[in-house]
Amino acid sequence: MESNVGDKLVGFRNGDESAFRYYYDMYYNALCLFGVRMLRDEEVVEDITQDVFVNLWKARETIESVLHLKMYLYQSMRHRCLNYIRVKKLEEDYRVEYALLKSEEGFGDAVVEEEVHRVVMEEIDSLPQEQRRVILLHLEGKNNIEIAEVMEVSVNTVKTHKARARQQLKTKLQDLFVITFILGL
Amino acid sequence: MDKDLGISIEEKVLRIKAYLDETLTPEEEVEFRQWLDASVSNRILLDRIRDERSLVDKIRFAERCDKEKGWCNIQKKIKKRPTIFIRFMRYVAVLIAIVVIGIAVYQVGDNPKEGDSEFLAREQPVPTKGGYKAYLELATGERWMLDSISKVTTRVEGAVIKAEDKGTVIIDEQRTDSIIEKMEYNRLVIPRGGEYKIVLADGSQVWINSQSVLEFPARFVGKERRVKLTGEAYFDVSKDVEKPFVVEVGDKEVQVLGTSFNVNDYDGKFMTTLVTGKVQVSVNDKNYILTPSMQVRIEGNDILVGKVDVREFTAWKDGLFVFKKQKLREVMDILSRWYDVDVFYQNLELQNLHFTGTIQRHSEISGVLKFLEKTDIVKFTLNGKTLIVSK
Repeated sequence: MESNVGDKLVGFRNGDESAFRYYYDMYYNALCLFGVRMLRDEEVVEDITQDVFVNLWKARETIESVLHLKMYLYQSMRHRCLNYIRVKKLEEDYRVEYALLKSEEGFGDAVVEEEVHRVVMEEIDSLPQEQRRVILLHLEGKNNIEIAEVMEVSVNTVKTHKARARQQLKTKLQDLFVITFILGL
Repeated sequence: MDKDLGISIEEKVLRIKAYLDETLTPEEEVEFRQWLDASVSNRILLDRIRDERSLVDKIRFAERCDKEKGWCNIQKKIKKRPTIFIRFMRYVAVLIAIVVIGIAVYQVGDNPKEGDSEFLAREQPVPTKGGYKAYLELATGERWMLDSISKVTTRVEGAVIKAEDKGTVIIDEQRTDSIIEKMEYNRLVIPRGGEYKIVLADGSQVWINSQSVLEFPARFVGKERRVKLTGEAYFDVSKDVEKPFVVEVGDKEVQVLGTSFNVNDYDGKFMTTLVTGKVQVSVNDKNYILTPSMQVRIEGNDILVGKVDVREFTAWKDGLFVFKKQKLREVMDILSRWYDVDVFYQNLELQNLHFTGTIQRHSEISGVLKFLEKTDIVKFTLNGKTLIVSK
């Protein structure tokens, strides 16, 4: 899998837009999530994330490895967010976040957390659409009856989807606590 | 150095993932536990990763993120210089437009200049007018972005919080057997360019203006009903003689039993304007009692109490800007919050000009600026989200 990611990198460096899109899909949410740890304004975070990608594209020829690309993204995000706080004079509001992201250790741990969650979310995302939809509706706080209504299926079908999703995630994520929580099982 | 950091991050990610998947070998597991015990921050990191709540929040956030729109924005920024074909097509489009306008002029005798400028104006990004926008942040850490079409229903202890009607959050108290002792505050955050309304647990209604935050409990426990505000809001408080309603604004407090009033606290300027009923404003142990159409204004150490035209201060909630001999600076402050633009003055003296007039709050910014330009004493130039004021 890693080598596949590497192949894409060659394409990316040569200006292949589909390779760019591939990395965009991979990191867009993770970078936004990394950003909202610092800035609470989601719209601002999305804007910053987009700018980070624009600059990544401009600097594509200097990217040496997949790891380099990943670090480039998180580091740019970090500096841009810190910068935003400084320019808008929000240091008081974001004291804790600011101090944390300024320290190398705080930054490193934030990236580790985001990266593990990114992989887990990718796995949930890879579920068949119906199962995924059931889980997401469940997350919105809907019960089986309400989910059945929205999806125009029977309550039993909802239950089956939940069971299948649980099965599939269990084999993938083992003890991942999430499953039981998400499915309320 | 960055490379080392990257590698150590990568190793930690793999290790933690393997630990969660239970694929570590016994030796690796021993090593992992040693790493875990080596520092408190490692333990905290693992706990954060295992925190299902935070993961659920993230999935919700990812659902809200408009990835396609983000991609379009990036494409727009990358492809500033269009291809030859597109540039050619633009000429064609302009030619067609000229012909069409020409025909229109010939047939109707319309003014060609207007059509022309409208055609060119489309190229520039224009600030959008304000609308229903808010972030609902619960004490539990859950967070939603709300707009005019969002539908959210969530349960907290003793209440159901709903955002289903256009631009309104409603809190419904629910019967509970358990006694709720501590009150946790939730937040409704309105960004620049936004407004939202909330119906609190006691039925009181609050209209919240741009760039404001209202902190409120899901239900009111204790002897009073207390909320906290920064920015501006209009309150229509349900009557409850037993339980006074208190709005906390920094170090000031507005206390009422049941009444409607507007509180405004932007940029260190505090104002409370009473519409009906009676309120008491407390600041530094001093109390000011207001009767209808009275206003208290506090700026630094200056405190002013007097009668005002209430409409001027509350019209915003009914969709109007009402200016009465208002300084341009104040007018522009209001517009910058609603249209989310940054205002620059070519000449600072311009800030002291006065304006009078009523404008629809839901008109486009261009319409509002045209209206202000009619006075012939100022001119506006809009450049993206930057508004320049000149003579």
